[in-house]
Amino acid sequence: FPPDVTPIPAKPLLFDIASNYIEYPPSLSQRAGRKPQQTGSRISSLFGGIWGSKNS
Amino acid sequence: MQSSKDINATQLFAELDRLLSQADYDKALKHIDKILKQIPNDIDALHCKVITLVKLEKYQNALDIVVKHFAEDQLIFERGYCLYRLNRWSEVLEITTKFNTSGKRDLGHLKAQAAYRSEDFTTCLDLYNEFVNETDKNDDAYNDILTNFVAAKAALLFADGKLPAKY
Repeated sequence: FPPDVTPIPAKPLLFDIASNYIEYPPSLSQRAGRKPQQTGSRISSLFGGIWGSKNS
Repeated sequence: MQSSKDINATQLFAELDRLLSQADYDKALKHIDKILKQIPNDIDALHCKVITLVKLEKYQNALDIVVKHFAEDQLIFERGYCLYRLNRWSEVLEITTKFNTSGKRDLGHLKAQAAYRSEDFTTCLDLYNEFVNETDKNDDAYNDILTNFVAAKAALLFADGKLPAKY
């Protein structure tokens, strides 16, 4: 003890890019009585650092 | 002329809007249930509930709502994303096969990620290759896409010992 360190194959981690496309419906602002907004401001501030879920 | 019921719904959704702009998802969830008590089965409220549950990482709860209240061809991406986070990769791939994903970035990324998890690295690599080619280098997403492309390439190489000629 401690046991020798041995390398094991590991699948590289994956960014969960799909998660950046989760968004609220555009109808929300209408229902809230807001004037129609410009759509499509991509969620740029969330990119970078969203690691995918654990290796299976 | 707006009825008082309409105005009330507007006030309720305006409050929801406010809570969401502050990313207060716990309060938002409670508030949505309040809306649903007043306007049962309101589609917008239910849709917001699904998204809020996803933000709270309560994927099974979100999926339950999609399954109960939405048709198969509604909230396709959200349904798929919940299944993905519940590790039900093959069901995700069934969905992305059934509903044409070409031109839809959200479903395309979901498909690529589910393919990776299912160890279908060839499909995965082909998809990320497309994404790399069609994404502007200055786009915020570009580096993440490139990272996933490289990961898929490495995984395929490790699995097969070689890569298809085009890579």
